[in-house]
Amino acid sequence: MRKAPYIALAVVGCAALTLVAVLGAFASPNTLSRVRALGEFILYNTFNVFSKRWWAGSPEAVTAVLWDYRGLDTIFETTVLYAAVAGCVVLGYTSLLKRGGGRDEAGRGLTVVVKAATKILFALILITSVNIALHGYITPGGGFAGGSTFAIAPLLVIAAYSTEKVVRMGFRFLSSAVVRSAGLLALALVVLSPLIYYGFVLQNQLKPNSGFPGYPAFLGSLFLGGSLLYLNFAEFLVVGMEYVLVFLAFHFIDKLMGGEGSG
Amino acid sequence: MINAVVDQVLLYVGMALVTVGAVYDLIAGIGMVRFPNFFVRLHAATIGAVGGAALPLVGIALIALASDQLGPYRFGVCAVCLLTAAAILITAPTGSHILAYAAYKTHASPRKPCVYDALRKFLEEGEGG
Repeated sequence: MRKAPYIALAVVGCAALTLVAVLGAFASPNTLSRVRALGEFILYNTFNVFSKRWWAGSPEAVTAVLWDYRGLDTIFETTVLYAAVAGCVVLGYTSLLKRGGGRDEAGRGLTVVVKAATKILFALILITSVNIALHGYITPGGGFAGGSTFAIAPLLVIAAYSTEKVVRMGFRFLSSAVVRSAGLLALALVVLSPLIYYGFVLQNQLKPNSGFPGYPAFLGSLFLGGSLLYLNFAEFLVVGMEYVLVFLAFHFIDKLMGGEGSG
Repeated sequence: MINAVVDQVLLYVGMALVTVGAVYDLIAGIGMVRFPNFFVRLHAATIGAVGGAALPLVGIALIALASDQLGPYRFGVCAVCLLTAAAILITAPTGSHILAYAAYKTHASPRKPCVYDALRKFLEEGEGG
């Protein structure tokens, strides 16, 4: 009988999924055509070099929607994550102060096999994450995905060695917080600087009724992706460092509570 | 002429590797069901990862090299496949190693049909647990 809640949850979940599928199948043709019109607009305009009136200057339509057509949504998401992590940082920092320093003997960690594999994967993950973030306006990816990938690297080190090892590698609590805030400031700078030229907030390319000429979309024959490149990189810093901060904060809280504390 | 022959050879070798990978996956699936305890099942799972995922990726890399219709992108596909295969070859054995180590140390799984336990002797002699 203890499985009853899970079974009920599964039944409700299946029912909800079926409902969504049925609603999608029997939606009025009117709604569907409007949805398709929006999709057609985005596909037609995102990288239309011949008609640049509403274009985003990026061949990757998803990133263009996230940072250009629906950019405010992403800004609010970043802000919500920032605020949520801020609470975590406060808890972790007070624990760090009460403990005094927060650097003591390193744990023994896992076996030599895991440590060797972690060394290789650490470098691979860092390269991949920067690649995902910087190529976010050409290929699938972007700042959030890149930052989440970046956070896996210190997490692996925490699992294979200890959290002290991560701190000794340079992921300090305060410097991570500073980098994250610098990323958010860079984000705000890129978002707000079109206002100086009487443009729009979050403006990427030249738009009608705007004095802002737009961020450069090409460097010779290279794509630059307008503001998407800078926004992606700033978001990469913010999200990556936020995850690192959460891991470190949990570690310090755990140590204050008298737990094992080595990840 | 020689290019076409090389392409054909690459294509057939690649398809053979993918087929062998499917056989490995089948063997791994049978092993997962039939093997008696966690540690031996881990062996079956790693067969599925190395033989059933890394090997077909090498095969797909060869098939991509032979697919002229992809143009210059075939080198990109080939490189990504080989890199992924290398990543699997690093992570899958490490993962199964540490899973077995953790299960052994925490007694999370019965060591019931045990033929030879080298780790116990090592732990008793070396560092005492």
